[in-house]
Amino acid sequence: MKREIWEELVDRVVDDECTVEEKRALYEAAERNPEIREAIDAALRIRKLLRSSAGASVPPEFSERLRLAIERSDFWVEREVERPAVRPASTTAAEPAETTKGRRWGGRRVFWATTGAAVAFAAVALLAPGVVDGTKAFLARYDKIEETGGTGGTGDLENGVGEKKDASATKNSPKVAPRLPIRTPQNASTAPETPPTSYSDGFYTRRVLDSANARRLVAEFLQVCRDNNVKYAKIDGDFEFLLTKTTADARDKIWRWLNENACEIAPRAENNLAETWNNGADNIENVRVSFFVSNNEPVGPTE
Amino acid sequence: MNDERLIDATLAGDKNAFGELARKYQDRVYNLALPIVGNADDALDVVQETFLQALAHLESFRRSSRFYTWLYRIAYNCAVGALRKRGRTTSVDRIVEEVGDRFESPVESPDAKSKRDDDVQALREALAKLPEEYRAPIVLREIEGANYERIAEALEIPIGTVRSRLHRARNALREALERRRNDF
Repeated sequence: MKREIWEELVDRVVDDECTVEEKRALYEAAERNPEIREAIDAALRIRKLLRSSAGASVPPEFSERLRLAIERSDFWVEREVERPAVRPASTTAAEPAETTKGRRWGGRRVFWATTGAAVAFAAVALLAPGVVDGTKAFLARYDKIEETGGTGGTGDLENGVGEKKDASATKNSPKVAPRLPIRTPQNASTAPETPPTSYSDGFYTRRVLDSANARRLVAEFLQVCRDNNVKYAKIDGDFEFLLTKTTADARDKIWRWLNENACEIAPRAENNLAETWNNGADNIENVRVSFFVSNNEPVGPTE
Repeated sequence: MNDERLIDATLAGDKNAFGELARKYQDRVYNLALPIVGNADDALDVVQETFLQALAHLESFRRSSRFYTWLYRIAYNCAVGALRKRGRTTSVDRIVEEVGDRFESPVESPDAKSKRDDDVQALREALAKLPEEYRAPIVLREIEGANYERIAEALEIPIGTVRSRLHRARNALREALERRRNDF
């Protein structure tokens, strides 16, 4: 048997990728040729050594890390068909919002409680073409949401606005709104404090506003902030803000204002917001509030 | 519950179902990633990234292959991606550190143990030095026990290429073992 033939055969035999005849032929050849025997032995020895060092298990604490990572995946956001009911304007933030997903919030509460993370996002309505590619389809989708009274959007900050959803999916799922970008805060123009350098994960908007209404709403919102000593930073453009510090009392007022005026918040953001706020932390930080307008005013960079 | 049902449940929004899939395969993915990336921290990152990627793309899983075949293709890509990000060198010392003396047998004589230690060390060094295209097939074959077809599918290369790469990988590993013996 020629070397190149038995060399190839050795691999296939040890890998059990051969016929019975081939295996028999190789073993017969090996009886006559010590080189072949050695090659077979070496291949099997390598396997044994490699497998002997491959019984590692992930550390126990990793399982929990993985579980949390899975739970926080965007994947679930898109599956949250039912949205938590928006809190009536008369309720306070201290009262848990009525929700159809209370069961699923349980794990998150534990998470927040254990990590002490108090991060949340809020959102108000929609869209500057500069931010969202200015596509008609995109605008139309918001229009559709407006018309149908859809209950909001969902998105992924990390994926940015440019990622448009399939039109049919939008048709079938009017609650799904486009994604919005993460933006690094610029120097705070109106904020007494330095804005944080990172955000939590999620916030989404739904309502289309015309420019005049957006500006009116922004002015009103900022007045509410100032009245309640809520620190805020302008993130980008004139319509996006980060609440850098609030108190429990201010939190209630802001929450109420948002419910009355701003928007319904997409599931993921709503989870974060509602949980964080309902947990009653005194100081709520990094709540992002964005106002989107449907005219041509650029709100910020497309990312 | 079998994989199919867990996938269906996941797609229906059941987080626990995917958690179960993750628990079921996390060690296998870890053992696949570890020899490729060479250290536990990076391997754990690969495991996490693998499952998040799998979850994100679960709808695109066509079920023409087994779930794990699909999963380890993702794992492999994540591992190679991690390796590239970090640079191509795998630290032999770290592999040794991570996998330790798992092969140790209580009935081995000191001499036999010493020889086996040498072999394992040589093998790990050789594995770490293998070019990526050879390392992946040998890891999939010898650690995962994947057959040629599954390796070809996972690495998206023809079966003939799988064979030739396995052959070269084995040659390199065997030569490493022989060199080590000759040194002593």
